[in-house]
Amino acid sequence: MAVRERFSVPRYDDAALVRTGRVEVDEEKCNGCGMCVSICPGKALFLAEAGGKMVARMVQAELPECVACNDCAAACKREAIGAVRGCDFGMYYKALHRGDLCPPRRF
Amino acid sequence: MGVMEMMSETSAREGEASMYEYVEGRDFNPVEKVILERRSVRRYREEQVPEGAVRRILECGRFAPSAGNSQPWRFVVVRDRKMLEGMERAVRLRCRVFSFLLDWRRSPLGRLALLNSRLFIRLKRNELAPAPFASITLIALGKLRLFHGAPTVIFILEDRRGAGKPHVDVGICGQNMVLAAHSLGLGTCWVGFIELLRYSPYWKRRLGVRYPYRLAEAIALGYPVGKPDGMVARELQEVAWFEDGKCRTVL
Ligand code: SF4
Ligand code: SF4
Repeated sequence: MAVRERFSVPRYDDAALVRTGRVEVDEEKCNGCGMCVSICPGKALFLAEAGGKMVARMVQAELPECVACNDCAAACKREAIGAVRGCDFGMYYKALHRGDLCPPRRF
Repeated sequence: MGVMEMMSETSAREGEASMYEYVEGRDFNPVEKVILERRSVRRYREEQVPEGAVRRILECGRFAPSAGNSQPWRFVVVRDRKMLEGMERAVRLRCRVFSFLLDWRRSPLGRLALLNSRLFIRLKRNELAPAPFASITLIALGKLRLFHGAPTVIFILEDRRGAGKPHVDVGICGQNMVLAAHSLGLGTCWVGFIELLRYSPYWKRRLGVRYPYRLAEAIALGYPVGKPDGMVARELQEVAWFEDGKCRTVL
């Protein structure tokens, strides 16, 4: 970690530095039950109207607080949602020694 | 005959390899499943957890390893709705104050809040890291509940006189309980925000938080709504692996 990073805290709404988690919703499968919305720790999801039905969507804020915990993915009965990107808050909070998202493996 | 021998003898009779054995590529065993499928639960049913189940979970905490077997913890179980709601209110009030002082996106202080946040985040880098920082506002707005409606909460007090690193031992002990709870079909969530009760003399007195104890963590416990558990994808961790005089990176 560079010295500069070590001593600078990012502005949490600075999109150039801060990369929050991101989920993708399969709108075909999602039935708008709202389970994911109610359990998301960051309240990063909401229900929106799309194609005549309700579906889960990510909040479009300057700081969508998705931490890529995938609790939504585990709770969804229809396997309609899941994180596609982990979070990295940059600078002082830069993620180190991490790889891509991957389910448990059997060695 | 020891427990291990008994277990392996039983499974040998059943003609399959013991659980206490590594077989390459084999399906996850029950313990691995409990570890891998357990998710944090943030929606609970009203129904109270049987007292016996809580006692059983506490037993698993009691047998956690600790430095010098110093067992630097004390458990406080709260199953009183009124008390839990009172603590929720106390924490929410404190979150409102912090949100007012620090959250430049909403605070009427505007630019001053931004300057405050720049300063306080530097002073409290862990407590005000991005995720808890955002949660302060969510709790202040009433969007996120402290105990998520759980009917039982286990508070872990850390005995500051513990050998070595008592805060680590408290974590180990808590995780024992969380996994035991999951194995009994119960949901749990670690609640770090009870930290803010440290600023409340009333709740400290009520929970018996005085020297040598420190309020470390709380575990919300109850029956989950729906089926929140399951295996999910997580970031891989880059591991430095030393062997045969060489070092390689393992992902
Ligand atoms: S839990 Fe699944 S089906 Fe229900 S709203 Fe969320 S994504 Fe859609
Ligand atoms: S991954 Fe976690 S934080 Fe992100 S939307 Fe799903 S439940 Fe919320």
